[in-house]
Amino acid sequence: MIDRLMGILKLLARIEITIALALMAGALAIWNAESGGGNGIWIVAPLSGLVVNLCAALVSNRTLSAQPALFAFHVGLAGLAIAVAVDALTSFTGHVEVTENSLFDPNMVVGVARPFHNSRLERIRFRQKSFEIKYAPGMSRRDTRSLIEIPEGNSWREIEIGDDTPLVFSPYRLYTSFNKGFAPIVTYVDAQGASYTGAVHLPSYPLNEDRQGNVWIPPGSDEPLTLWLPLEEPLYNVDAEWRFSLPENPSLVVIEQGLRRELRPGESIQLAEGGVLRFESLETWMGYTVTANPYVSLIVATALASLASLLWHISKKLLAPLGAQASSTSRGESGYV
Amino acid sequence: MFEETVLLWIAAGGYVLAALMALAGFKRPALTHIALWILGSALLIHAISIGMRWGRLEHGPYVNLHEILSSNVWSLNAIAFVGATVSALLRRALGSVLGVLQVLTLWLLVTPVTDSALPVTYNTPWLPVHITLGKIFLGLTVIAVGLSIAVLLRRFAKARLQYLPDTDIVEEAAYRLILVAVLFESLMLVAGAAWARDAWGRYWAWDPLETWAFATWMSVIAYIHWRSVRKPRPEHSAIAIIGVFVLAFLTFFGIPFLSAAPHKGAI
Ligand code: HEM
Repeated sequence: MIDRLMGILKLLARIEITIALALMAGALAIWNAESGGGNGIWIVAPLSGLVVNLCAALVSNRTLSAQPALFAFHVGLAGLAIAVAVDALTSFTGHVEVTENSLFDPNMVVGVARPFHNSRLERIRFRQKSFEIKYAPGMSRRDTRSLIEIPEGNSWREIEIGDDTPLVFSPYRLYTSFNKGFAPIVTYVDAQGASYTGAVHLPSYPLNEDRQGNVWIPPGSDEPLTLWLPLEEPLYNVDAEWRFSLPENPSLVVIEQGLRRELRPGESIQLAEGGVLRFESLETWMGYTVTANPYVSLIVATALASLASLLWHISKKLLAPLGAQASSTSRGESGYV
Repeated sequence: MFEETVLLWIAAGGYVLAALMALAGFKRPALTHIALWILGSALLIHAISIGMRWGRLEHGPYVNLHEILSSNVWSLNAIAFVGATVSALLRRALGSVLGVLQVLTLWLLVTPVTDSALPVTYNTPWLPVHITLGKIFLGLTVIAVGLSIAVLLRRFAKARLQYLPDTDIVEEAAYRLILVAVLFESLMLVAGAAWARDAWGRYWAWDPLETWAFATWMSVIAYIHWRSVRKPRPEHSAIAIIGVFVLAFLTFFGIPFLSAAPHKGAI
């Protein structure tokens, strides 16, 4: 029984399988990238195969177990595979848009939580202040600096985050993204007199500069309104430096059942279904990516531990004179390296 | 900028001359010493040129094609120089190593010299670590390729390569270089992942550069296992090393300029 099991393990541990699967994983990766894929799921098969192959080798391969450093390295690799799998099951990636002068709302985060991700998005607390994005001539985006306030004791403290400086509320990390845009602030007073103020985020600017509009349904109503920010000309000059900024003298176009009306900040209109809509002001919104890898330190630890063992193995190997392993028929000149 | 370019051309001339000398050194080993002196001087001149540019643009030479080629021509020649200084075997094989490197020298000379601006998210301490590890990996692989070419040339020009040790030994040296190279390559991937997490909040996302680097890593691993367990003929091992190098070369010098992903490696 034990012998048969060992036989199977030896078969699974064959080095030809390692070679074939490694080449296959590489080829599949390139094929997927070149054919426009990009989600990495396809690579799971050869990599899982490699893990099985590796574990079988750890149990059944004499050459491996006879060399402590090499053995430790391969154990480390198996550990790394486990760590990556744990990460894949517990990570989170998403994005969120936050309006200037308002609080981050965890419910606005859109993303993918892996099956065992324990969501703690409510830990993230900050208030968006202003932000600055510089463009070099040619509309090449330079650094983004976002001013935010985070809670400290009973008050708020202002800090700056940006492309290289994330906001960290462990395990979450928020980075400014290339997404940002304009957000008309509107107040809707319904027929009963209840008042609601909110921001309508327009598509990212300047990426969608020709589509600065959005559809909005006032609370309690079923009549969609189309809100447009009329921009006759781009806000930037392609050949010059530019800082992302609000348009001067903005107005808001409201289209209701085909009727088009234009509002200046502070102006209101009566809507057909009875409510009143006031355009308060034009603000900005900043887009952030939100990621969490709660077990990333496991990956770092196993990767570094296995590479330390590899260093140990290789240095032992390098110390042996060249030619010592060559066949006895070779003339075996040594001492070259 | 004019001085930088003049110094670069002088250095490039030095590299070509050193390669010719080292090739002649296969027949007359004394010439290899002269080649090393010329190579050392060219490295110094080139370093001054890179340093001037670095000071002027206030970022290292790793943004556009000219900079990436220039810094790699320097680092690969420097690694070949150090190798040949410390090891007699590598000194004797210097001709074929420098011969391979002239492809890059020529490419560098026909690439337009343009200024560049450091992209956002490049401002991290991981960047120089990642790049240095990558350059060492590539440098060791290039030397292994030089040795592999010597192994293959042996079949046609045995007499000319008489000063090289036994083919088995040259091939084993190449294999050992690849073993050390895979360590640096793995460290490069770890540092790259740390940078990606720092800069973009994710450590691995299968973007084109990451994908090609992964495939290169896999090919090196396949080679190492095949070589160490199956003990192939030296010529076959040499061809496999050249194959791995071609993949590494595409990853370093091809993909960064074809991909539009945020992690461009270059741009
Ligand atoms: C996945 C299944 C794997 C198996 C079954 C396996 C098996 C082995 C075995 C049996 C050896 C001993 C070779 C010898 O010294 O004669 C070995 C060596 C080695 N393996 Fe693996 N390995 C696996 C994966 C990997 C991976 C993913 C790496 C990645 C770096 C790797 C790197 C090495 C290295 C560097 C050596 C040393 C070769 C030498 O010293 O000549 N192995 N492996």
